[in-house]
Amino acid sequence: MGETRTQGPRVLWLDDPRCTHPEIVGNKSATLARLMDLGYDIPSGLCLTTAALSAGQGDYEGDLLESTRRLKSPWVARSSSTAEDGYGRAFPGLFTTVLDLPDISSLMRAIEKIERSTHSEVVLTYARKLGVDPQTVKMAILVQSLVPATAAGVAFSRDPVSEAENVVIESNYGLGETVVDGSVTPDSFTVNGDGELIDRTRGTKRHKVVATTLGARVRRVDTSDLERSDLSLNDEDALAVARVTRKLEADLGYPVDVEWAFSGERLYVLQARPITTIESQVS
Amino acid sequence: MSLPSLPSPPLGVRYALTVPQSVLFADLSLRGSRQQAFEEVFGTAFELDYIVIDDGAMSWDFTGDDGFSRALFGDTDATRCVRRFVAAMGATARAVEKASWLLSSSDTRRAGSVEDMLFDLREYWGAYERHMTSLFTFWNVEELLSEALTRMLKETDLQAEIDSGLDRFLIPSETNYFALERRSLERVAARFGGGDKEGEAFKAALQRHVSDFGFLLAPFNLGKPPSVESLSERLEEIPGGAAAITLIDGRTDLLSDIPEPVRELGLLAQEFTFWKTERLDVMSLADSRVAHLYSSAAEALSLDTNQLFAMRREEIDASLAKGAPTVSEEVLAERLSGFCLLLHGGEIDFFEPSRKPADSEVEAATSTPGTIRGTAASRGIVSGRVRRIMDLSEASLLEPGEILVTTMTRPEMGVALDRAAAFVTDEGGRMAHAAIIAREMGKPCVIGTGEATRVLRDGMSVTVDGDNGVVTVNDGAVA
Repeated sequence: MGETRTQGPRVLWLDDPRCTHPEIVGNKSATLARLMDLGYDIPSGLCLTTAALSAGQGDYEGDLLESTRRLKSPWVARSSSTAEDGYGRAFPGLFTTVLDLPDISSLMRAIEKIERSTHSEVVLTYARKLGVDPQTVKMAILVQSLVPATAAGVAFSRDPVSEAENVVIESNYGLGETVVDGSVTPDSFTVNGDGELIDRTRGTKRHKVVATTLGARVRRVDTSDLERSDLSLNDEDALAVARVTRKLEADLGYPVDVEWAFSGERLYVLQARPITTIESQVS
Repeated sequence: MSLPSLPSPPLGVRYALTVPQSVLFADLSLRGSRQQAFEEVFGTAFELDYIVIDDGAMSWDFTGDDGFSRALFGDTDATRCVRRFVAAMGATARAVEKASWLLSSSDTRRAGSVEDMLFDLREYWGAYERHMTSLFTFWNVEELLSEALTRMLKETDLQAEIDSGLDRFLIPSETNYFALERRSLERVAARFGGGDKEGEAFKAALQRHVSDFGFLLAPFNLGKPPSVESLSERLEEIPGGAAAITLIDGRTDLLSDIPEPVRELGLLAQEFTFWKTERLDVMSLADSRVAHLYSSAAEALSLDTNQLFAMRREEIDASLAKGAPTVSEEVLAERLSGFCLLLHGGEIDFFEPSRKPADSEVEAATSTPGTIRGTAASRGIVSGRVRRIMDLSEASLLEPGEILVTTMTRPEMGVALDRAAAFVTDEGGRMAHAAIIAREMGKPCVIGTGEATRVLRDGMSVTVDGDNGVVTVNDGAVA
């Protein structure tokens, strides 16, 4: 029988220099690896490479098992394909993120789910519409330690609607999923080019998703009246998010769409990709 | 570790204390995490920002961060911190065990008057609250320990130990939970492996197992006591000749060949794991010991025990003092179907799902009839007929050119997103899925209106102004 083993490493730590290559680990991981190298706070993680996924579970299971023992659980698994997160195609929400993985068997199930999502009808339709040939899309998966965020959300280095050069931040208590999926109306902050906070708008934010340690580890709970009547970020933290967002735009060379999370006092960057609807041009 | 044999609580209520979603135990857990309890157990003035107990599951603002550990342990080194913690955990566990043991014999002490019952309950609640406090600190201590161990192992160049995932030192407590019980069941399996599973001896062995460990198993069976049948099923899953389950028993002879200072920390890790699991055992044991107290209290109030557990500590206290329940049966029934407790700033608030403030009513008042306001999320102005999609299965009903009105868009709405002329949502911000998709597709989008799905009806003609975030009803008549 012929040798059909796909070449290349199966599992790479995010701080491995090889992780900066999108064709090995997908766009999302490659960007994060680059940012980690630049000194941003990125939750530690493992990349399950495109080679691993094309070779199949039996091939990479051992490597993955070995490496995950050194990665603090619970984990988050995110798709990191060669198609997502490019200019003009965010594929938002189409490839799956699985949030709450306490052990290796749930991780394996999550990987299967993410792999299946690439072949889903919705993704294929969307890809065709954007002129992407689904056959050329290569999948990789990123496994990171879950950041038990106290507040999190999304920030754009340009106003996505007016395209003004303001950093716009949306924020909620807990993990950022509620902001991303649109299940709450988040708090919103605008910081102008001089680094001044020019707008704060309080959202209704009825729910939040929080990390727990008993039973289900991530749960959606109602926010309290106190939380609803307050902002999920104070001015100082909002300005910190704005500074990181500006710096990301400068370092990456295009207007960015950033997922960020505060855990205690630490500000993590969970994802950074081009704003899909604004042409790449940095002043 | 050896478990004392159980006194026999009244039949039928033995496992009732572990019903999921019990208001009483949620209440006690929250009290145990207030500043006062932290001060009493750890001598530290620490206040958790918030904890939510909702639908039987607990959430709190645990960030695993330095702040929490610092507040609990100051800047002392890991060994001393963990030692202090382990000592406190041992002391609180023993306090509960002792209190429940004393109380379990109180029915022989005196045919309890209501005053006695109340006195006993207060005693037990006090011990329970102190005990629960340690729950919230496990995760930080575990992290502290494993970080310290990893660091030391790297320094001492014991690469093999690092590669083995530190299992040798810090056995994940999941594997140790109820190890004694599992080991006992394995012994039954070994004894009756190939032999007679119908015989009296086999049944007697399982019966003994139920009576020895039933109190431990119940919580994992969602309050249902284990039976000979359920144990037989578990026995089928035990492979023949399986290696004996490792039991972390707090003894210190397993690590003799490891050099200092790793050895000391390893021993501490072992002790920590022991107490962490022992605590659960003690809690279950104590629950089963004081079951009779709760059933007498329920009887005195003419309630069943489930109703009693749907009350808070102070409510039971007040009811017993008054001689009748201070909470109505309807409210108890509501709580049994779901509740939410929130600890915030040292106060505990109680939410009953059906009594939450209705946001929609508040928001309705802020909007002029005929106009709905939200956030402008994608530019453009378009008119069309409303199609409300409240469930994914309805997505295919949307005709090309209609306005998609929904709580929040979902990627799975595929075809509907494609066909719609514009999106209007109740929830979300300018960076949410719906907004991003709308901008990519060049469709107007008004997001986070708070009321679109309630105010708009299928077939209404509306104009969506994505520049200003306004939806105007042109024609209220349903087509």
